[in-house]
Amino acid sequence: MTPTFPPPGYMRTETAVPGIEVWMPKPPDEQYQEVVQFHCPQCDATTAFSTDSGSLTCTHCGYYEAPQANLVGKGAQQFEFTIETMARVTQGWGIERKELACNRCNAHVTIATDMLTHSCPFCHSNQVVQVKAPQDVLRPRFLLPFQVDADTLRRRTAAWLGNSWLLPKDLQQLAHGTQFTPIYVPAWTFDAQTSADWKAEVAHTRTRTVGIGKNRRTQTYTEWRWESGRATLTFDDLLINGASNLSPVLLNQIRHVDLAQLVAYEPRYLAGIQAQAYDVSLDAAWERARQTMRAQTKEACQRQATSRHMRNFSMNLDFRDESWRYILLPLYIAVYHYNNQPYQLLANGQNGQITGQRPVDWRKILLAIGAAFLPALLLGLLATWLLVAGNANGNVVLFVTFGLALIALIFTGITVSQAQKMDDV
Amino acid sequence: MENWLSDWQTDVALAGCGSCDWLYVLPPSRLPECCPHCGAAALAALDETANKPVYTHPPELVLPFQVDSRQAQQKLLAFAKSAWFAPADLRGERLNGRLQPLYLPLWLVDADVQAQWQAEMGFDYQVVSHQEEYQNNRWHTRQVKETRIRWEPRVGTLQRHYDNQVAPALEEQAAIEKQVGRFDRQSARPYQPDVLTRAFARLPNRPPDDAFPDAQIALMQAARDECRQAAAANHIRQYHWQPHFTNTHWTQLLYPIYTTYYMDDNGKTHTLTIHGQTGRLVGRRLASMKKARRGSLAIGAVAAALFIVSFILLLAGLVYEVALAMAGLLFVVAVVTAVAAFIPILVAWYLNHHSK
Repeated sequence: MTPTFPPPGYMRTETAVPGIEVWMPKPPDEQYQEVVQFHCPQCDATTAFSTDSGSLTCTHCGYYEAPQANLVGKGAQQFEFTIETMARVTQGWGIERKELACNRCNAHVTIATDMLTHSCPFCHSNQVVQVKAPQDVLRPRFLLPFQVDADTLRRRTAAWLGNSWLLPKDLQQLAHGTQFTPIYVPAWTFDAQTSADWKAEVAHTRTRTVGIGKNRRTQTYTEWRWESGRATLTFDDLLINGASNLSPVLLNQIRHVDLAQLVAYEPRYLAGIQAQAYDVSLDAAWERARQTMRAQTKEACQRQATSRHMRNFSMNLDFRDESWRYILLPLYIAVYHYNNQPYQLLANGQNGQITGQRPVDWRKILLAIGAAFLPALLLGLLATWLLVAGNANGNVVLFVTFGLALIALIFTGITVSQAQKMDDV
Repeated sequence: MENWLSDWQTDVALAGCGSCDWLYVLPPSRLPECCPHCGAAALAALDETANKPVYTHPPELVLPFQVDSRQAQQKLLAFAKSAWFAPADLRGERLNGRLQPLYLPLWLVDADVQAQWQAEMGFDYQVVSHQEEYQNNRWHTRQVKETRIRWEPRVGTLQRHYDNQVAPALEEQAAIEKQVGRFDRQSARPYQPDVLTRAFARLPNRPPDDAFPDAQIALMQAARDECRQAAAANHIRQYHWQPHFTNTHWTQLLYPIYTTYYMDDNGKTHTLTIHGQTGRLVGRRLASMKKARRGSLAIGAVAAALFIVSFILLLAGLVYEVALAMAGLLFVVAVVTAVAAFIPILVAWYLNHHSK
């Protein structure tokens, strides 16, 4: 029993039996402000989170305020798919817009409900919108802070833009002037355990001897045998993108994040940084995650069979211990122009991994392909001349010509496919 | 108070069993030789002053018999009739002759309780899960709802009055209750001396002071359940309290049973008990191994005779061919009979090892 009564941190709650009093732990004291505004306590100028210093900084007087990092890592609270949560999920964000009144200049602006941060267009003060009930459970509770600053990214971008001969030579110089905009993008993480019972007819190749005398021969045939088994897989923090307006191809390329660095949500992290709320709802994201999980479980089941050649495959899959988290991931978005064409770059704000579009120097590629085919062309001419002249060496030269042409074709295929990958993301 | 039996307001005497130590208050004219509990011929009248029991007060409440002695006798007759290889003593009329109505004591405790408590309360909630089936290259998804429990700590205070919480008045209370079953206390009536006209009353061997820890357990169970209700929880665990009891009141309640007994082959007594409200009869229905052995021997003797006759027919078959067929047939019958000879012993062994 507790020596003091009621214990600290407890509050009285309703009782259904007279004569019995009940105390429960107080819910976490979250000082809720619908909109948190950031301005310098020294000079009243606007403060913003600096990805360079990892703190709230005043660009005017240099005031510095480090956010209280509450590292929770992979132990960050996970939520279950309760009936209440799923009912709220179906309500969605709707098309409602939120009206904000700026505390500094009193300007009234409206913003979309899927934006978590806002800068006043009149006084440039930074504001963080706090989401509350009925979607309370669906507000971001954890995020990965930015760990890479824009200067580092510019250096990496310069290297990235110059790491292939397919790219124009002057591209690297553009990296130095590129503006990287930090943005928090929404993501869902899912945990689950799948267990599946499967059965299938598995093919086994057998041989048998048929016929007699001269007709005796060995015949190969397929024997179908029923096999069954059970596969159990554990999925930990399967990441699903929560924003539909970002290229899933690009995001996939920089999706590797270290969730051990997750911190509890704190509005200061978002000050002056764009942050987007999810528009891929929990149930839609969970559907995608389940598709991935069941595909991997199916693969695990099929790997258990003694042969991959099978038919009538069926399986019953149960999901257990399903849970989810709504987190914000740090991302840099940049656009640079080359030959008056805009190209988008995305960078992982945690590890600096870069992906995006790169303009390919198709002239260079055409010259390289021409150079690849040139030896084959010259040797082909030589072989024709030798064959017409009745020289027996013409056959050998012709053979070599075909070999070189084949090599040139393979080189062309690889180069063009690489170039298209760079250009078409 | 030397003549404490006078408090019972009727002519009763004290008797005790030298074998099982049970003490009874009973009409002096009805003192039997054998103890109705253990069947030992060791029941003797005791001097109420020299052998004063630990608790002597008459009961306040009595649960009346709802099964009369005729119904109880019919149950015993059916019990004895259905016994296979019943011991000689397991006969309906003997069981009925030893049938004794008996009242056993139980404490009912009333108390005011003030306490501080703490517990983990469990609240049911539902989650959505999925089951998927893959067949004919297609996935079929089924949503299922699962109920889970969310445990949360709660503390509180309690100021309540509890009535009629049960505490044992006998050391053997738990065993008796487990064997016979619970009793419906709703039909309890105030004690009237005439209930001891035919029936015996067992005296408590656990006075209130001794039974108080058990009463506290019963009170805690009641408080625990009320705290769960107060917190509107579905489950409760890890309940701890610091209680303070006042205005504690103890009531002795007598509940009714019938007892009788029989002796097995070795003269060992086996008690049969009938619930005085429901008529449920409990006790071991043993088989007599002696009888079973005799049965086995008789069948074995028949088998042996059949063997001999078949052997004779075999010899006669040397002269008359037709006798050979009869010899073979009889031999088969003899073998089957020999195997059957083991059945009585096996049945009796099985019954004795599985009887309750």
